[in-house]
Amino acid sequence: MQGLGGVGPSLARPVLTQAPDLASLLAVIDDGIRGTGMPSTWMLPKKDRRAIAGFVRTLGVAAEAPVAGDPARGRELFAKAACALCHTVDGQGGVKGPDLSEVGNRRGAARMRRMLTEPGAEMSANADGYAEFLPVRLTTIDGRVVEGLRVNEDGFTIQLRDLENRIHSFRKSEVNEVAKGFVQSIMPVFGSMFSATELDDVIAYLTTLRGKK
Amino acid sequence: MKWSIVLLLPGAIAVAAEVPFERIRDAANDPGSWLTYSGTYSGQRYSPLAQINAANVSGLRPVWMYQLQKAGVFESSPIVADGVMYIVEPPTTVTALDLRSGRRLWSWTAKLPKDVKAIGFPQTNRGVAILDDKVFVATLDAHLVALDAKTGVKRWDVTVADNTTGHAMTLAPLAIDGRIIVGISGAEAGVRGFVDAYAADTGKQLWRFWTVPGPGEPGSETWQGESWVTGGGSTWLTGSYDPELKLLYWGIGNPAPDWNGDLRQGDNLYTCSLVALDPETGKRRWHFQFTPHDTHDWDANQIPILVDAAISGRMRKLVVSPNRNAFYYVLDRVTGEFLAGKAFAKQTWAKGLDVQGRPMVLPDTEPSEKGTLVWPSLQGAVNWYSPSYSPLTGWVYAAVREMGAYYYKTDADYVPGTPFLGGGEQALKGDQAWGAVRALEATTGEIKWEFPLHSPPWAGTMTTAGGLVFGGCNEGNFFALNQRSGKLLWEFQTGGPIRANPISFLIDGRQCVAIAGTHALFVFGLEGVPLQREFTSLRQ
Ligand code: HEC
Repeated sequence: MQGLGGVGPSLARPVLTQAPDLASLLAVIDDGIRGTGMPSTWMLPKKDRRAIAGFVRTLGVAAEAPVAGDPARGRELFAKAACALCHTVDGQGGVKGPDLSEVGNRRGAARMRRMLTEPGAEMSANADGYAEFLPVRLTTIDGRVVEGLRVNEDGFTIQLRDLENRIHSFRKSEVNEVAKGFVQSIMPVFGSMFSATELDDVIAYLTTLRGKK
Repeated sequence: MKWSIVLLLPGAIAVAAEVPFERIRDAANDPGSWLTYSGTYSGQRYSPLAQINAANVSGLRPVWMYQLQKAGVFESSPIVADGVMYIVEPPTTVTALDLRSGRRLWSWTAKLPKDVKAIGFPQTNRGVAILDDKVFVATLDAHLVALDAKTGVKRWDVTVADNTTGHAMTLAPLAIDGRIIVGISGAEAGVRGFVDAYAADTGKQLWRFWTVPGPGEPGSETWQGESWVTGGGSTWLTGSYDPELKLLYWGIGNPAPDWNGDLRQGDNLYTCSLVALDPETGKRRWHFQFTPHDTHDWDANQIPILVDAAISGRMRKLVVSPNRNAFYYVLDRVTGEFLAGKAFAKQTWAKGLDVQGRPMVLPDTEPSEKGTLVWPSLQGAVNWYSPSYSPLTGWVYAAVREMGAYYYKTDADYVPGTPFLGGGEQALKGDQAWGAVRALEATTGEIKWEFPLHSPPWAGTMTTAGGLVFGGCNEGNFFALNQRSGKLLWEFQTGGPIRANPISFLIDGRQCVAIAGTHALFVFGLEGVPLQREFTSLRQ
């Protein structure tokens, strides 16, 4: 294991934003991070949790593995491919996908690559495990069809945001069918649009997105 | 001006409660109150009130709300007697509310140690018991406290067990004739569980039933070596009571350590069992074990439901229970004989139940180092929240959790007052899990209907003579279904997850329904229930 990650960010970096020192690292491992997918591990014996913390700290000693690719070119490609139609970076851009301003803190390179080559394989989920950008096609009892991303849902109601960002709220008693696109992310497949080097460039750029200092 | 403070303005001042045992025993004849955890000793959580019914429930509106003084996990099931509602705010603050206005009459807060231990569960409390002129609360640091029902003044306070070793209490006590019965939490810290009885007037301990037998006692052969000492078997929910048979029915939790059973080979009696106890002596009359040698944390603490029903043409006194392990059980409550059982939720760990009711366990369902995917999750197909039963339909209404989990196994070292678990789980959550309210035929467990919920619920159900079943869900909806059809009749968004049981009672002769929400207690009534009474001005 190199600590380069699946869903989460690379842990092989000198400073962990959520856990700059040992005590806060132990707290993160014990309790998880509220509002994120980071689970709590209080179920593990304390000595195992300490061992995990120790291991994580050794990862940061090695310098962060450089990501192949040119971030400056990646930035241009990001603009050219109109990623900002759906993504916000530093306050600019769309909201059909997650804000990428700090994506470098949140995700590792491997996950970013998967996102670009096979979106839908691993859709963004919130801390409770619900898909955050779930495409939904809803048919009302009187035959109206509304498409959008799911904003929220309970057993009785559902709220969608359409491509113009209008909110549509339905009681389920008004609805005939709710079709959910669980493996159908609206994120386009960029694997074939970009060359291998271009893909590396875009990922290199995304990795630099760590929020404004 | 002449003061006469002894003069009670009729109806304008909440009268304080006097609740003798006979009144609780006959609570079915006193539907305006809610005198014990499940409404009556039978554990049915059925209200004989019928003013609110399928035809008018759509007109249900908030009457008042009470907001918690401090945020916490609010799971209290209220007690209502003589114009007062008693709730417990988390972690252990007893509050008496004026039933008509929702205004606070008094609060009493337990002085908990700063480092109070609640290992394996949230710092919560599920309610008080009432008997005669006192209310009784079990505190998080494992004390049993009696308070004056009129004022909240403390009458007595006994230490039930040592909190520094992980003993804790979150259950509502059960008050019967002259005695208060309580159980203990702490199996996740390796405590040895018990059920205790205390004299209601003095707090003197009357007996203790150990849920894990010691050497030489019957059942001790089901424990390997010294494993019984830290064997778990906590008793963290309220039992039921049959005053005619004079038997207490108490559910018993998981063995410890939870997910690693290697060092406690054997059936591990009486964990994951139901026991029938003599309330005079605490002696065990019979037991039935749902999950022998449990390694999935499938406590059997769910509220036992006592019903009388015909089986093969013969009237039987039954105790029935949808269990955390996803099977529904029907037992003879006189003898403990297994009569019927059936899965009521997705389960992948047993081929079924044999004629004795023992599960036929499938291979490769044990927790493992790399994780073993099993349904139900360790939170179970049901959990602590209450099921209900309606004599109108003869059906049990269970809020069911459809959720699987990867179960992990690790080493477990017992260190007093720390988690003693031997593993853990990673549950399938979000869009991979769901829930439902299911109606089960009480004598067979056959599913009559289901009402789907968005996620696995943490709220109980209540039935009423109005033909309704009330329930709640994580998304905040409090709702009423038709008992017979499962059709949705009414729903209200409370604004946060509901983790509590509904109750029903009368305010000024009008039926109301209450439920604890995330940070507030909600009371609903039909329009026309006096929301604000006309006040007689006292400033004369
Ligand atoms: C049509 C809208 C759309 C466009 C255009 C788009 N994306 Fe996405 N993107 C999404 C959505 C939606 C998600 C969330 C994944 C999901 O659950 O479907 C996402 C997720 C991502 C993620 C993962 C973020 C995280 O927090 O896990 C990255 C990285 C990403 N996109 C990069 C890009 C890049 C780079 C481009 C341009 C080359 C791009 N996206 C273009 C919609 C879009």
